[in-house]
Amino acid sequence: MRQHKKAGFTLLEMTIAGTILALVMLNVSMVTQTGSAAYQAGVFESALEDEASQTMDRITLAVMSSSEDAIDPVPIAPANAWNIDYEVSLGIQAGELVLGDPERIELMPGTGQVLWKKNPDLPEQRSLVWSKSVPDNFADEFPNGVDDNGNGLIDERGLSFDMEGSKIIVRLQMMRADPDGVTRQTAKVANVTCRN
Amino acid sequence: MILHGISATKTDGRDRRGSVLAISLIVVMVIASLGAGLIQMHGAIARRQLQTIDNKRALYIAEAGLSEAFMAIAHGKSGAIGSEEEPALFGNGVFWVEAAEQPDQSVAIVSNGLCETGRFSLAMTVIRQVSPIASLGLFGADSVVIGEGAIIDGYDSEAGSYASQVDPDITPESTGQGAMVTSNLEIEVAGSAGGGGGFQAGFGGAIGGGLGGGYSTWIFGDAIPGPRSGVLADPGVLITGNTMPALKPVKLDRLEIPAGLELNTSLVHSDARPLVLSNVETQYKRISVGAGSELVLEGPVTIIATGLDLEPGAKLSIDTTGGPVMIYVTRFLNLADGSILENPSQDPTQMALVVGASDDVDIDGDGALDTAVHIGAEGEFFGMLYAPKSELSIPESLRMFGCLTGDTVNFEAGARFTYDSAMMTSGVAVTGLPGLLSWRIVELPDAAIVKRRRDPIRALELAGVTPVPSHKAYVESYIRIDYTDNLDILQTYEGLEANMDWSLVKKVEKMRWADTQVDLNTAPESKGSGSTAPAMITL
Repeated sequence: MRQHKKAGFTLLEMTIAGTILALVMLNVSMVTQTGSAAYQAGVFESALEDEASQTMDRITLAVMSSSEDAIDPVPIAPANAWNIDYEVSLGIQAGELVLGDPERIELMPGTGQVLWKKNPDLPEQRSLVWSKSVPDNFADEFPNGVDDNGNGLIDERGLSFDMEGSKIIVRLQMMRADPDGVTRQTAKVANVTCRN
Repeated sequence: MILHGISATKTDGRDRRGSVLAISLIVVMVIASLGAGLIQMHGAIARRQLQTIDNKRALYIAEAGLSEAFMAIAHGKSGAIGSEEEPALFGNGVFWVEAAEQPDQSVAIVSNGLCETGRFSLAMTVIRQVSPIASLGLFGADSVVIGEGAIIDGYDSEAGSYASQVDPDITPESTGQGAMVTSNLEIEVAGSAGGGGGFQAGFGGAIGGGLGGGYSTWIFGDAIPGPRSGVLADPGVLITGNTMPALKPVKLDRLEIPAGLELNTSLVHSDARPLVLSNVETQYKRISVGAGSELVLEGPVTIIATGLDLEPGAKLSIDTTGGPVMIYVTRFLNLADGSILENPSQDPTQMALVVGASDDVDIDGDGALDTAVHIGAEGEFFGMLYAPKSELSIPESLRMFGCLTGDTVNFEAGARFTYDSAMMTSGVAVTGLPGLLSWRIVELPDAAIVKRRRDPIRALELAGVTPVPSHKAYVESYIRIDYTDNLDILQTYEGLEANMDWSLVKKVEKMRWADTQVDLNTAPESKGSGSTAPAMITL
């Protein structure tokens, strides 16, 4: 009797191999998905952090370049404001401090935008959007006349200014939903002293 | 059961060799390229964050440069530190500061900070020396009360006499500008009810309407109350300047008098002939000038006394033509009603009356306590009246020019005060610290080390340059100093500052810094450094 050549796999072998392959692929897929999601989240948070840092830097440098006398009164805590009017120093001419055109940094509630305006409320007004991710209210704060988050301010918005001594305290909250719908947020606080 | 189908067409297993390897390689390459992409993205994010951090560090380093330059100017140096080729080392970065003297005695400074890839440039303008006291103008720590009919304005004694700066279009006679009234609390200004409208405090700006018309009390300039305080003005009060409250209260320096002056007995002058004191530095128990007598102080004069007592009809004449006149009174000041003050030189920057009196004291020996400070004199006072612990009341009969500091200040009805803005930057009220005029961010300089976005310390190393620490990077290292030594002998030293024996110095008279010995003759002059200030006693 002629002996058959043993080529191919048994059904059992195929089943086991298929199962193992499926498990491995599933595992790989899960790892890839988790890694990718974590990476995406990291990238998203990093971008949000960058935007917050950049916006805060712009605000603090603007306030630093201004003069105490050229800033509209900033409320003292627990009161606070979500906009600031100021003029930056352009230098000295004939012994006098020369200030630039009036400028304003302002949160536009409901839009998430922080706007920088030159010559605000004037026909020649120019404006730039510095951020689009600022919520109406600071983290854990609600518009109820109470200091909900215990930071000493009442009903502060996503961007707020208050005064402590000669320092202006700037608080900035950033919040944005990532592609998966998860809300990411970051907050920054800076104490700034006008240099002029 | 045996399957035969899978490799039915293949007769030899060798045909399949390498296929798994190829698939594996493809998978590995895909994963590797994916990883490389992720790493690149991550790297870009990290670089962006690092750039932000480096820029922030560069900002702080540039600010450190400004601070070093500020202190250098306070010590009489130019303010220049390091250079583009040899910047100063600070932390993990470098900076250099360029300084340029301006025609108006200010110094323009540009500080360039570099840290890793971060770059930042800041500019500051400072005035070499300012007086923190004179800049307050008329200051009452606890209160300022301006009586009805008072006129407060300002002028600049360096620009000419008061009369030459009077605005002819203003009635009453005034320069119509330059007043400075400040307090840590309220400022009360009285006016007549029939006046042309009051001005309530706490809101900046001037009020409109013609000057003079309908007003009974005038402040031609700023009235700055303390934090959370206001200007309480009656109707008929005109305040043309800023009335916004100050952001923080003024903290006055401790009151100091020169130490080590020769102590004499009381000076009692009751002769009809004038008594002239000229070019003296001395200390009396008490100075009394009787009715009809005259005491003349011709500068330079420095006098310390426990009390200064001018009886009615007594006259104190101060002439600062030859030098400053400094009077320190520790316990009481009595310028009796009808006594006369005179200052023919009319230069407020050269006269200071410093009063440490606070508690009532028996001046005339009748057993009853008298007011520690009584000012009832008539005439003109040109100078700085600094009495931070005293209650001051200025009568209509005494016309004041200069600056004034008291615990409480009451300007009686009709009194006049003219603030001299020149006292901020020149004269006896000036201290050694410069004043900040302006701070701003400027464009980066067109320099090779700035353009090369790499670690500046490494770049300098490659160029063979070792940056020196910031405190050793001042441009000036040579000094010429005129000083009084411990034996009260005037001495001069010229040479490297590092070789100067500062323990020999009792008082610095003049000091000049230069980057080379040759430049010492043309270097700007300084009054002295903080470390060698004349010995003072704190009251």
